[in-house]
Amino acid sequence: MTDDVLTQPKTAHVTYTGRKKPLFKLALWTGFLTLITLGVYRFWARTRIRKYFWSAITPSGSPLEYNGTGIEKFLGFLIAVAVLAVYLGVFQLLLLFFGYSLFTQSDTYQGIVFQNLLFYLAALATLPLIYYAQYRARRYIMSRTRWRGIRFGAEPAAWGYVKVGLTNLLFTVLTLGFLLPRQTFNMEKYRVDRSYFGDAQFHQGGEWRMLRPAMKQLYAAAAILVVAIGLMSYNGFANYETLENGDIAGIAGLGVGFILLQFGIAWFYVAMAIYNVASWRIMVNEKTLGEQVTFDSKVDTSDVIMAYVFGGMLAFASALVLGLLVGIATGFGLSFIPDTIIDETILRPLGVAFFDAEEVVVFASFIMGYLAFLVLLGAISTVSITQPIIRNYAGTITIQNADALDSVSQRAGDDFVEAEGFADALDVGAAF
Amino acid sequence: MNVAFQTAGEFFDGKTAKSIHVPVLISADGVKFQIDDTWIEWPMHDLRCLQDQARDTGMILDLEDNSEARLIIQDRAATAHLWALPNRLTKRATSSTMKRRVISWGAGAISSVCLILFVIVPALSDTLARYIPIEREIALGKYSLRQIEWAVSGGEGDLTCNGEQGTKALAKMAKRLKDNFETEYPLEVSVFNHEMVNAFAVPGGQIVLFEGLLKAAKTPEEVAGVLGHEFGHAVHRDPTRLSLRSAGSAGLLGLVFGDFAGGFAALALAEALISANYSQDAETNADTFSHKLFARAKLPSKRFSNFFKYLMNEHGADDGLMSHISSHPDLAGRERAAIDADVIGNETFTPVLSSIEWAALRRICNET
Repeated sequence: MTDDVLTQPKTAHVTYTGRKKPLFKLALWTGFLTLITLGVYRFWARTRIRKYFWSAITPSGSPLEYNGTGIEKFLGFLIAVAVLAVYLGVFQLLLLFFGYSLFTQSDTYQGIVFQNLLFYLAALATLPLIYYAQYRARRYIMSRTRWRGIRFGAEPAAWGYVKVGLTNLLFTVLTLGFLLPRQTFNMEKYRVDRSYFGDAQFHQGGEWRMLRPAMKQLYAAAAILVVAIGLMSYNGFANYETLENGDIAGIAGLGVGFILLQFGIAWFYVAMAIYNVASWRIMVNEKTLGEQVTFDSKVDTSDVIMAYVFGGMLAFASALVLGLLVGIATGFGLSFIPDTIIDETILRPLGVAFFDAEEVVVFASFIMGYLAFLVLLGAISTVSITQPIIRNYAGTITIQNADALDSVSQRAGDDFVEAEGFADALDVGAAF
Repeated sequence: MNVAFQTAGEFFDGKTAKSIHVPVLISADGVKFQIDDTWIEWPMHDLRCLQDQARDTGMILDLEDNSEARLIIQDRAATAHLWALPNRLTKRATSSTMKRRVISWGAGAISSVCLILFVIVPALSDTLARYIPIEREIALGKYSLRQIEWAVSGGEGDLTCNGEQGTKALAKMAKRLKDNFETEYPLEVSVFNHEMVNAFAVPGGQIVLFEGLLKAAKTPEEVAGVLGHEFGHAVHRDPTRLSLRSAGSAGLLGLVFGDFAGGFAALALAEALISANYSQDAETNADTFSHKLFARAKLPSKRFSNFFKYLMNEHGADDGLMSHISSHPDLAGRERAAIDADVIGNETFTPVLSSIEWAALRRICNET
């Protein structure tokens, strides 16, 4: 049979329909509920924010759906606490014990190096657990994501991920970061090749060398850092002789080296962000779903970085101003209450009569202002940082041969008792 | 049969991702929609609507028990009609399995945390504290002492007072007490030039009195009582034990409260409560140690009790003390304990310091 009719393959766009105002209201309200429940509501808050983001991401006209629940996250938290309590309590204590036992004057150079080494060794010990938890958390999120009623999913393969992660990390460290693209690619490939939409399997094509161009800025940052440290050590580092002898060239060299060092560090952070966005884009373009569906991302690095920088500044500044206003308003409101009432109702019953009423008003205003600042910072940054970034990542994707998605069939549910509890406990969970 | 509202919808059967356009009828009984020639009914009682969606219009419907199929209605009038009918669209029940799991794991989590905080961490840190080499503890103590000095002085550094006569008097007071017990630490006492009415011990047997304490005390015995108390801490290795304990509990409490707005406040409160719980015992034991030293040195601990009386009268005016109180047992109780422990009564005794020495000690920070 010959197929001589060329049908135009259907290209579908992913649109992002989220808006500022409803998201801000949702984030502020859930943040407030989290505050007054002493944090218990945070599992429900995160669920609701995710529902919003997921439903805003609309591939080919149908929104994604997040159907995780708050209660299952709460359960995951309880499981993580029950299991990890022993680990975290005893681990921290032993860490400090060894820190004390091996304590050498920690303001000497060797002392500082030694303590840092100890810290990294300890961090290394938790690394397998971190990779494990991250894979499990991703699998949980995949299993709670649907599109057109069909579930996404991931294979249970967390220990294999730990192995891939640790071996690749070792190579990255041994090559001073030059094999970072290999690590990034291999870890992503491991995850993607075990991911599904319904019965259709994702596949990560390409190979790690295609990520090398994304490294350019990192090479540049590394070169600056090498020059800076070279200049500084050549001119005697923390050697005060250079300064005392009035060696102008030496002082100038030290100064230039120091400025270059700061510059190099800043560049390094930006380069890392560029690398993350660029490598993500390159890898999306090599992903396939099932036999035919492919993807194309046009995510723009500078848009993402700008969202971080300006969104961050906006969130901080506005939360600060509003928090101050709340604090002042609280102080103003409380100042109408006669001192004797504060004395009778708060100070005496609590047995802290040595405070005077004025101190209570100042303290209460400060606390109120600070809490308002924190809640507002969370809510505003959800709108000014997180949402623009998701919009940039999701809204620039196109899907080729989207017609083939119609024939994808349902997959079985993935009962996931501990949800993302472990990733949460280790503080390596998703940002939202 | 109610009058039905007609509209169009998009149906996903939950078996494939294929979109099916269907005619929909909305009535008080629920929604009905037609696929090929069959009408499917979703009764109002089971009908649910997805919440927190990033859309102003439209609703995504599913069923309480079968949550795989989806019916999307976009028409504004139709969705308004459905919302206006008596409905259970936002009611999602938590399954009884889930409730059971939450209750049993909740019990597990609470017992696990209590076991760690109140049994394992205290026992382990008390045991481990004994295995830290003394010279390490001393190095650590010296280091933390410098840090405290730096923090208390607001970054200015040297606070140690070294008036010659005052130092001699201090050494005499320390010796009177030290002669009455054995310890593996070389105990060192110094005075910080600061108005706080306080004293503390760091790991490795180094003890600091604040000048404010010397000024507030009426007799040298009051100062000696405090010194004995701090010696007690040093001998019991309290600074080391308690910092190991708080490291253990901090790791755990961080896990429980997580990082959310205000979570750190809850965290700080919980940590304060836990450490107060830990340290109250240590404080009581240090007081008892001090009373024993007084008895052995033939000193009246009744005089030490006067210091608590002073604190009770004065503490409203002093910042340093407020921060001190929560970790210590109540002052009235401590005063009573000091009186009860007295073995001298009204008999005469050799004072800790002569009146000249006492005056010198009080001038230790501004001797010329």
